[in-house]
Amino acid sequence: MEDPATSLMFSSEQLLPKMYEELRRLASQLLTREWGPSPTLQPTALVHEAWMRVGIDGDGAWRSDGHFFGAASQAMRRILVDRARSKLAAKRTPPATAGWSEENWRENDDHILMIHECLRVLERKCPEAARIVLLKFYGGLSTAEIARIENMAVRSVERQWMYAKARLYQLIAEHTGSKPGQGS
Amino acid sequence: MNRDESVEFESAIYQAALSIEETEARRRFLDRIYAPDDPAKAEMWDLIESTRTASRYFSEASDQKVRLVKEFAREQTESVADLPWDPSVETGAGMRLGGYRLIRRIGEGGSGIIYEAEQDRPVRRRVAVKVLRHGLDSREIIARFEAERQALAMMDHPGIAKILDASAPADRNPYFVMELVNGERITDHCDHQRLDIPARIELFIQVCHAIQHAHQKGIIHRDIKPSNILVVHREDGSHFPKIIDFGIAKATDARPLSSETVFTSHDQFFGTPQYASPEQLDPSSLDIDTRSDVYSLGVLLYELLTSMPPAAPADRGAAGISRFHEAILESDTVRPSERLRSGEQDDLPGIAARRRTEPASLIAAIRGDLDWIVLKAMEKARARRYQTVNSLAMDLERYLHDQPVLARPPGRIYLAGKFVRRNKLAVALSAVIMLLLLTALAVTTVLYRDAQRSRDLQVRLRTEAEDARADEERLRLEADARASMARVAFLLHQDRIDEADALYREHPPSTIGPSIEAAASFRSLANWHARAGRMKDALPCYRLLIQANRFEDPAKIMQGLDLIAIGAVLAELAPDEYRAYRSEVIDTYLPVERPVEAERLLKFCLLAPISAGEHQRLEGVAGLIGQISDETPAYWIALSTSLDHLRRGDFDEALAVASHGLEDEMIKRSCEASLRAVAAMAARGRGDVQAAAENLALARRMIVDAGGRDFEAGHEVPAYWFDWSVAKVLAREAGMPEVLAKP
Repeated sequence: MEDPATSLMFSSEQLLPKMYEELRRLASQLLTREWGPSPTLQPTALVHEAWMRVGIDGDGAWRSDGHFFGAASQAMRRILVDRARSKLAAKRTPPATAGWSEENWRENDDHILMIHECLRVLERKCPEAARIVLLKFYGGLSTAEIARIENMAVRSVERQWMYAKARLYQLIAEHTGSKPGQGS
Repeated sequence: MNRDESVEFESAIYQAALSIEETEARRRFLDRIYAPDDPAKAEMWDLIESTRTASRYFSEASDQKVRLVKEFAREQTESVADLPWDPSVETGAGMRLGGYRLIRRIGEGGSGIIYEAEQDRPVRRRVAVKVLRHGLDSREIIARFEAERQALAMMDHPGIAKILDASAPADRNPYFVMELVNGERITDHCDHQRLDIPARIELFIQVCHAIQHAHQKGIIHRDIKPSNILVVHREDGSHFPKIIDFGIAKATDARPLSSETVFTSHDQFFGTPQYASPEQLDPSSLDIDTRSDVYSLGVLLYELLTSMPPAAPADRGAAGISRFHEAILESDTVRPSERLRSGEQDDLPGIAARRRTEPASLIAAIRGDLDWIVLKAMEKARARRYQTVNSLAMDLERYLHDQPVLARPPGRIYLAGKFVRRNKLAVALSAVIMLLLLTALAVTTVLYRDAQRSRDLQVRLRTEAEDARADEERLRLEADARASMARVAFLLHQDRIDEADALYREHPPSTIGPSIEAAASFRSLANWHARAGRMKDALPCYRLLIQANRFEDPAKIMQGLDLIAIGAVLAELAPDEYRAYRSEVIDTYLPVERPVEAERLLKFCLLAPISAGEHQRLEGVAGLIGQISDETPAYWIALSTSLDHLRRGDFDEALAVASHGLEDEMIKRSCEASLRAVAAMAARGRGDVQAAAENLALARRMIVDAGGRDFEAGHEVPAYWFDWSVAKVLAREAGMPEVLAKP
């Protein structure tokens, strides 16, 4: 059963403004949810970056909300991965410490990179689960939002998200050589 | 099966299996789903096993994500704002800042870089200058500092490094000037000097005294950690601790006014969240008081004893601040001795050796009292911590002198309650046991939650800090007395009258000052007497309860049954006191918000005739009763409402409401008696002597026949003594003083 509204082909003129607003709303939600209202932070900046990264070239036409949010989440994924990589490179030169210097709260973004790498594997093995991770983790969409745009039941999204996390974590554990879980 | 379905199926199996908690059952479940040699079964098993770790991994990943997004967003804003000035680039040895010449860099902290500097005027001396990092709003810092300057100037303690000056030049970053301290971190000092446990504690007590001094001046440190507590060696070989950075944390702890202050304060936290109290880590918490320092001192003590920070290393890792706060709140602090014993540290012999002892003796020395002292200082709820640094220090002194300490494993009284339950000494869930448990809970759980009151308490503690020592002793006696009181109630219930009597003589209720904690004991004892029909014994206990309740949050009192119990006893035995207390209640507890509370309050107030003026003030309360939902039976509402009409002199309406209530088949016998009494008074008011006499006779008969028991539609139900007291009071007013005689 496909919702006729989402199966329609949209032209970019119709969809872009709507999506722009939608994305802006999400970005602003993300920003406020994570560290409170802050007048100096513009969600638009996030959106612009995401927008560019999505690579709208020329006649970009979005087939559905799902398509758009998939692309937007991919954009967020690329931003995060790029940042994590560049920070990793910068870290190779350790800062000198002296005297009273405090223990540094070690910043580590390896989870972002690891999830990215293993998600690529999961995308081949089990694209449905991978898509939930993409929308949920990178896209920051709520379960209800995913259910709507993917035309799934909310419960089903919840279930698949749990399942996908476990699958992905197994891949990560294999990748890093540590044993998943404690049991057999 | 197509791919779509495959995920749907597998995720469904996965979730179903997860919902089965017991491992063996879960295994059997999978056995049923999969064929015996289906490799998918083993895969599914592994998947389930890794669920917990997976969730954790993703929650850490979320923290990382948030951090990266923040950084990204910050860059977006920084590109338009001025780039912050980094002191490490432009300041350095040889340069001048105001009247200070920087000599060399001696340290670096989360919020800035510290230099040794020379001051020429008014005196030539060496000082420490802390140049704050970029991004902090200088004007604000200086304003805060100025606000505290007077208080800081009043601090005069050899254990506190003085803050000499603060400045925010227009073209530079703000800086603080402090007394220069040449010492090493307290943790390093203890290890280098190989101080044993008593010596470490003595040093720690000195730290407490210095901090207590500041607290008495109203100054909170907010950033107590080893790098802020330096031990200075005197030439004669002795040493003493000196606390640096006092007052700086407050001045620099900017609340999120702009993006930068947020980030900077986060950066600061990333330095030492170990030592921050839960309320400091909580972004929604705004008020920090001296008890935050108590927490940090607890962490410090933990580390001095064990050489390990209290939180498990796994909690630190790559997790962000949110995760850390969560972990702190969720996890129980592992007892220091337990932590040493866990074998998590390979170098236990080394740790012991630096304390001049063996591993086994070290663990034995810490286990027990020191464990409890540390845990009490590190309680997550600050109301359960030591309320002053002084009481922490005193408990440690008691430990050093082999005296019993105040910190103890939770609730001996609670254990008594459990004992009762285990032995089924009473019929299950009898009211006495419930009361005992409630008493125990009230005594051992957080009592000062209300923020307003805790602020008041802080003020009071500060002004009273000077005679804290005497106070401490009094509080201890009171705590003992309260414990005894609960014990008395318990013994009485077991018919161990002689023991109870002896204990009661030793600690009569009057030796306990009125306090919130005492309220629970007064309540328990008063109700115990009242339930047994000894109203004359109950009365003094209720008088004490009235006093103790004045310290309690009115909202809490309204939720309980105190008002009606007290009202019933006073109205029965001491009508004058009842009227005085009623005026106090009307002044204190209005307005009420919940209809259920309105019903109780109205009943309490109308137990006896009331002046028109006071009745007028209850109008809003009476109005609320109309909104009552189904929690309260209709006949109780009828009682309050008919009383309301009766006291107003509207006898027709009072009689109508009472009659309607009496029609309820499920009516409780005690309520029926009360309604009959109201009906009698209303009938008399209308001049219907016949009906008045009939109703009165019925009420009286019910009171006598019931003998304190209560019934609902002919079946016996749990009785509340005060329900019958209310009936007696109303019947007496209706003109039958003889019903008061004991049946």
